[in-house]
Amino acid sequence: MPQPVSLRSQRIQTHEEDPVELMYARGVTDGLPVVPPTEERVKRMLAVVDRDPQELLGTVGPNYGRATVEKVAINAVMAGCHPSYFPVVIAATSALCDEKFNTHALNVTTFSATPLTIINGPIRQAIGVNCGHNALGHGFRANATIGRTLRLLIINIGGAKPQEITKATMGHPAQYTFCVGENEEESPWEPLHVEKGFRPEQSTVTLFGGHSPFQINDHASRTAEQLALSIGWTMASVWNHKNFPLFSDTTLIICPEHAKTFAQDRWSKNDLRQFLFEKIRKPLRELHPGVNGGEGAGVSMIPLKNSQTEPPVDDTLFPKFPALDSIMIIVAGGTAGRFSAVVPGLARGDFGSRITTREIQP
Amino acid sequence: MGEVLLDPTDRVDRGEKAFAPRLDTLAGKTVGLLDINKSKGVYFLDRLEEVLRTQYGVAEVLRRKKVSPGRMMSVQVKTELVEQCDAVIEALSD
Repeated sequence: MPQPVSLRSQRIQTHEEDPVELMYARGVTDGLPVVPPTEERVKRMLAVVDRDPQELLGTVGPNYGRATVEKVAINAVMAGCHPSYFPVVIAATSALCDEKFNTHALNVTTFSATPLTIINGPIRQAIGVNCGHNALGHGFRANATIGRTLRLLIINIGGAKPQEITKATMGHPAQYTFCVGENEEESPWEPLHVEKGFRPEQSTVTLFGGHSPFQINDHASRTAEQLALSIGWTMASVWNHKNFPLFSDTTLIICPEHAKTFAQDRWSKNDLRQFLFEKIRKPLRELHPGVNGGEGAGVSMIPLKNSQTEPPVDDTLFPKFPALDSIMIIVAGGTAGRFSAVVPGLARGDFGSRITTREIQP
Repeated sequence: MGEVLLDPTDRVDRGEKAFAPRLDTLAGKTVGLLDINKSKGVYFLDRLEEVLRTQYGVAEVLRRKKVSPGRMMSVQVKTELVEQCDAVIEALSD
């Protein structure tokens, strides 16, 4: 017999009022209505994992509130999660609480970053994560509500409310929810979690602190090199067309048709990365502040002034991407159409946010 | 009877923090300058330090820097600023 679950959260007694309106009044939503977190619903969520509701998964920035399993379950209910998604939510919360991911930075900057959640492995089919047509869009409960749970945790546990602590200048729609499964079945490459050292039969979540996605339309390129140049020079405009090199990691989401073009020329993910790193470069003369705009900050950030390195001249080429490992590549989307997508990142490394992966425990 | 709902927040009561009393004068005081580590912020803070010393008679300026704008200052930096300064300016430029 399982032990009866004892929940410690404060009870909120509703009377005549609509519980949905009550949750709005308490400021605990993302602007959309939430599912009222009744004890019964929260217990159904908790029942799928063998964990103490009071277990601390970590603290959520910017205020570093405590994310216990119970609090995470409450927010998952509110986001609309089916209980079968809860193991994914638990793993994603663990990543969200990792200081290397730095949820604090994502939510106090004017930059508008939000966690992009990428799901890999067999859990995708088990719970119905969409990886195909409309992969980044609406219509699929798992994607919509797992991503939304992270936003609610950032609001309700992290304390990040827009125009208060969160000062994102612009914000973007993916801040409501931003969750995708890798389309491993349509990918010619090893999936993201295998690249990161997990076995194919394991399931993982990977968080990336990202901006809004931007689609890259290319219907004409028929060779890997043509397509990589087309995609790469479109990616060259992220942050600003003068930001060479970027301070950030970048996620590139390749659609299945584009992936086929790379595969037919036997390009690996690393071949594509290497090509983008080597070829998407601009000479310093095009990067000075005042040339095609006042911005030009990227160049000043790389350490060139040391005894081993000659100072740059106008012909010196600067890469868009600061390192090979700054480009994360996955395959997602439907099998018809030649539209890939780029998701710009927040500053990389210890200065900003590191891509963070967790195994999903069944 | 309505429904009973569970509170989704962590209920950490951080309360309202009162502002420290304003200084009557900066003359002879020690002022901390916390650089949040945005690019080129140092130029702005150099000028600010000069103004504080020459125009306001500030006796000492304690310069400290965060690891990154997106991370909190270290406990050590916080302790030094609290213990050694009469006032602190958290400053950025970009």
